[in-house]
Amino acid sequence: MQTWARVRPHRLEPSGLEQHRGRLFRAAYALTQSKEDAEDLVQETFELVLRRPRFLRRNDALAYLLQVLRNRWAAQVQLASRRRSRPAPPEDLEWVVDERADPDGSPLEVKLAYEAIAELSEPLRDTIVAVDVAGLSYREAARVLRTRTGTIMSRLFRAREQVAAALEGHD
Amino acid sequence: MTDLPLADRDRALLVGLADGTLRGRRRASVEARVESVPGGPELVRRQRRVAGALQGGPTPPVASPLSEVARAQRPMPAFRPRVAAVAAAIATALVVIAVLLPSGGATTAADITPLGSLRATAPAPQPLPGVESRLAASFEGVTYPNWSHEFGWHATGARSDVVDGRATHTVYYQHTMHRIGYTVVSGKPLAVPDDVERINIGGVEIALLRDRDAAVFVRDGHTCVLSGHVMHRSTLIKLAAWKGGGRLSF
Repeated sequence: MQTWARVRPHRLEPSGLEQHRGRLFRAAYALTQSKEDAEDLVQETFELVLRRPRFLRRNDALAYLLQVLRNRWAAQVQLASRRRSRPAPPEDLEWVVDERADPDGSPLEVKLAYEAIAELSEPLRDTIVAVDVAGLSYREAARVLRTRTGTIMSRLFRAREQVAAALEGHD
Repeated sequence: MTDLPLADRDRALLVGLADGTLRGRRRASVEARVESVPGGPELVRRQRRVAGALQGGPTPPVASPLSEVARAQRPMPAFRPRVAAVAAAIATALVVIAVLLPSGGATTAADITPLGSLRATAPAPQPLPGVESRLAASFEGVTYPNWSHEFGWHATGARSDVVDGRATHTVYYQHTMHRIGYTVVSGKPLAVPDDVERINIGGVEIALLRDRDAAVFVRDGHTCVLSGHVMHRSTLIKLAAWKGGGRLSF
């Protein structure tokens, strides 16, 4: 006989957020393609979350933060047409390879992959950012993006195919 | 990209195979099918290549600890344990005393600069509806700017103080790891030391207090002090002189 334990909501503490900054920054960069905008987006996300106590039912702080970040980004995109355009300053970012996941990878390939993400349609971009950049499981990504797990996996395949084509164009 | 006709289910299986989330017999079955299809293994390799590349990424810059963000935002609670309340009151009194200690003469703009580093005690004012360049907050008739769209500085909190008998109101803004306070002082404009650098931007005279990272200027007959931690002094100048397309009066 199965017993179901009631899941008690737990509070999201500031001390538990810092560990997600790196992943969130990469997700923000994949969306904005700008170091400055990514920094702002992550900081705004943290400020929003810390504005009042947050309680989560599952141990999915990263998924929650990514959802807040995405919503914030979507709001900014709507305002983008009202902003005057500014020339983008040169980016001084360090690109790192995860050698365990990609032993033959290079920083250049990582950078090209992020650039290719910007060319994807919104559903594919959101999916690959949620799973491959932010590191969410398919199920967590499905919750954040309000779709089914199977849809996530299918979109992920298509997104990766397009990014792979872009990488092969530089091989 | 692949020319193979793939259904959504096929794509999902290939992703699961590439990511290692398929297990047991199902994995073996899919592997066998992939091997039997021309170009099949290549599909899996491409998936793994991209997934592996995206495990890396840009290194995030160093940012202020989240505890500082939380402290800057959280207003003081109404009820606290007695010991903490007494300690906080003493700390506040010490700050107020330090600010109020006479410097051997009348209050100057330099005496206001410590307010830019204090903790916020009230929530951040919201943007003024319909007026993008202003916050829904003012003190002594001086409105506070909304820098979020133009410069990426966001209001994060506020506080009120009394310095040497003068009421002040400070709105705090944050941008990445930097935080500044925009303090408006009641009464007539405060004196500024003679030996400071002064510049004029668009008709706004700004006095720069180098040793205190502060810019002092006058709006609507009141001293305004912009002080806090910024990367470049030019940031203070740019923010101080901004007129919001004519929506901020000086």
